[in-house]
Amino acid sequence: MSDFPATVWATAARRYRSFDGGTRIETRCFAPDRYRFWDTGISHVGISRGAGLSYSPASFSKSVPSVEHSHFNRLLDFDSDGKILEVETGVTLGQIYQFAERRGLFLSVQPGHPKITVGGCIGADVHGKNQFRDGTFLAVVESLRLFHPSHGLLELSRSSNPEMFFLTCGGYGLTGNILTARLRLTPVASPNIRLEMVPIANIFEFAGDLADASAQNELVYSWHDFTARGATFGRGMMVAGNFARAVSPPVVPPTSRNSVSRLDSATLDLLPFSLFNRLTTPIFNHMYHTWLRLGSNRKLISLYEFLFPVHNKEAYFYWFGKEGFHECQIIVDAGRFNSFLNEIQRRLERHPVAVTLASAKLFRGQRELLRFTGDGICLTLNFPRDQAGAAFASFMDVLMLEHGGWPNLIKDSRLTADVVNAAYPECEQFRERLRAFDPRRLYRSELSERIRL
Amino acid sequence: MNCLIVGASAGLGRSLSEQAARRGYNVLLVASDSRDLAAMTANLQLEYGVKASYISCRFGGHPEEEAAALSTAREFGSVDLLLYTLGLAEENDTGFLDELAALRLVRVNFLSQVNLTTALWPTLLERERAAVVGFGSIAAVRGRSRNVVYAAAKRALASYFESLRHLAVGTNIRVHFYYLGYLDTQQSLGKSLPLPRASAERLARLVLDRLDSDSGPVFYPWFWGPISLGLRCLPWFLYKRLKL
Repeated sequence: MSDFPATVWATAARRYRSFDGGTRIETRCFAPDRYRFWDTGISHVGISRGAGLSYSPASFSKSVPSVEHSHFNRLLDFDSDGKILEVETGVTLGQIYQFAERRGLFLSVQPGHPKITVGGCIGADVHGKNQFRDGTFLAVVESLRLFHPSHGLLELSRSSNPEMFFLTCGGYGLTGNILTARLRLTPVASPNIRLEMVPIANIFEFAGDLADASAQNELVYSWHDFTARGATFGRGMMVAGNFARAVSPPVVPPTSRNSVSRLDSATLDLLPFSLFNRLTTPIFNHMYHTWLRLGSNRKLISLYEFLFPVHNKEAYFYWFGKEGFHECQIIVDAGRFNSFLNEIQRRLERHPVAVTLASAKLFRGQRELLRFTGDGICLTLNFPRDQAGAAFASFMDVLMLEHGGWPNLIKDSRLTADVVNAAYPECEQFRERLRAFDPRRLYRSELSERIRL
Repeated sequence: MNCLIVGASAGLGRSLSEQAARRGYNVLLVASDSRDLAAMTANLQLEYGVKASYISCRFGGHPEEEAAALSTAREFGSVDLLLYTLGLAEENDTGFLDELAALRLVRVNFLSQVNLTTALWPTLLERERAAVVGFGSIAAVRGRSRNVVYAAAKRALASYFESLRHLAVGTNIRVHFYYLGYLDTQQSLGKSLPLPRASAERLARLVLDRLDSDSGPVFYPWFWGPISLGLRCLPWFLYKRLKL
């Protein structure tokens, strides 16, 4: 390799913003476009960065440059018998969708936007709307190739170096740079999803309904109005989905769904103020609830629309303005869910907050290290990043810990080390394993520094 | 259509490879690092279903590799389109490079393209329509105290392509030459530049769209045309004061 002409790997100044707007940092980044970048060893260490859409700043920090993977976005191999696709980790979910769709396949676990990269999905061990059936992204990762300057290139899988494999999946990019991954695709039962909308009048009966619906449907989630008061608090709609096996032609032609998304953390500052506040949000929520209630209770949508519901609805994030928003995503044991909701309702009645989104879904899984999984109900709340929002977020931390819940680290740029230590019993074990692998702790991000990983 | 893209693994070469494959052209990629080429080739095959192949070749000092590249090009199929995006610049090219270093710059930036074109010209003449595309640099518009040998080699290349265009008159071959300004590639990353960077992807589309045209050299982005003219016309007593 020494015979290659010397390449100067310059860095560029960048001003990165976490997707929720909570963190803004001026730092530097590499943007390598050749594999020989990884030959340079310790002189070019940087935390990996994909699309930059994670709510919490896991891909940048003040102290370490970032390494943008935008040029490492290629499909490398496809084993049609085993349905295993090998990709570079800068590949987006949208790219994989387009490739897999032509072969009647899809990635069964994925978050809601096509610009998200595979590296981010592995690092944060993300989930979709079918977590209770298909698990987290870990379930579709067969193996991966990790680069660390002290260890070189490592092939990791459940059978080869499994401890590092499990530390890296859900390791927030702190074990090194994930260069490639082999992903298992799943045959698509139908290119369409049939949705059934079930009105929720009383959220306190919802936990039982959610469990029943999850037992009978392939995909289940809900939307609630947390700005409604009194007996109507949490009214909303439960959405149950199944592959429409009887409907084979796609309901939406491919050209209209593959439009390029402009979603970018850097441009979320466009609006100087938030359109969401304590006056407007109840009106928005009321209108949305009415629209859901008056609409058909059965809908046929494409798999693309189902997998990537945020695509073409990005304006929602821009409407929070330059200050951004909070997202609290918390798993609570189903048996304590109503008590959890009760406390939230009481708090919101005393100190109203513009909760723009409340959504719930069932979770199943074995908790391990810092992965966001486990048995319970996952509640997601969005609200503006203002003074009332900050106080409410702190209240949610306390309430979550009182109810034995745990937060999604990648969705909240505000979580402290104390909260994470209390919520994740294996947090210290994560730290120890990370230090054992990388005593110098070369890979760092704002997230890792904030929660002292 | 069969394309041979030399310098294909990154920057403009990669954009050209992707745009060519998107149009259904078969591509043979040549660059120095087989890891990049293997990834590129696999991606073009999987994404676009074209015939894609590669050979790694370190131009400028490995004649056996250049011979192997030529032989692979002949085996790949009759080449219709030759695209040269390879280039090499050295930070210390300030007027006092030793002979080996200077020769390497001349070989990579000029002679390698002469050799390949000479070898493949008869094949190109046999095709129904064919094209050869070269890329120069605005650094070669006028000599200066930086990129001394690089600019000289690029100016030789510009002259060579002008001659090729003359040679191709009355044949099926189109010869195109582009003077490039700053592109949004690794080479310009982090640099504070006086003029904006152009998109390599957009340039790649333009190059492939213009294959059938018979126009002369193109400055890209366009504003480098008048700037270059101005630099050429600038009297020496003013030019020597410029910090370029």
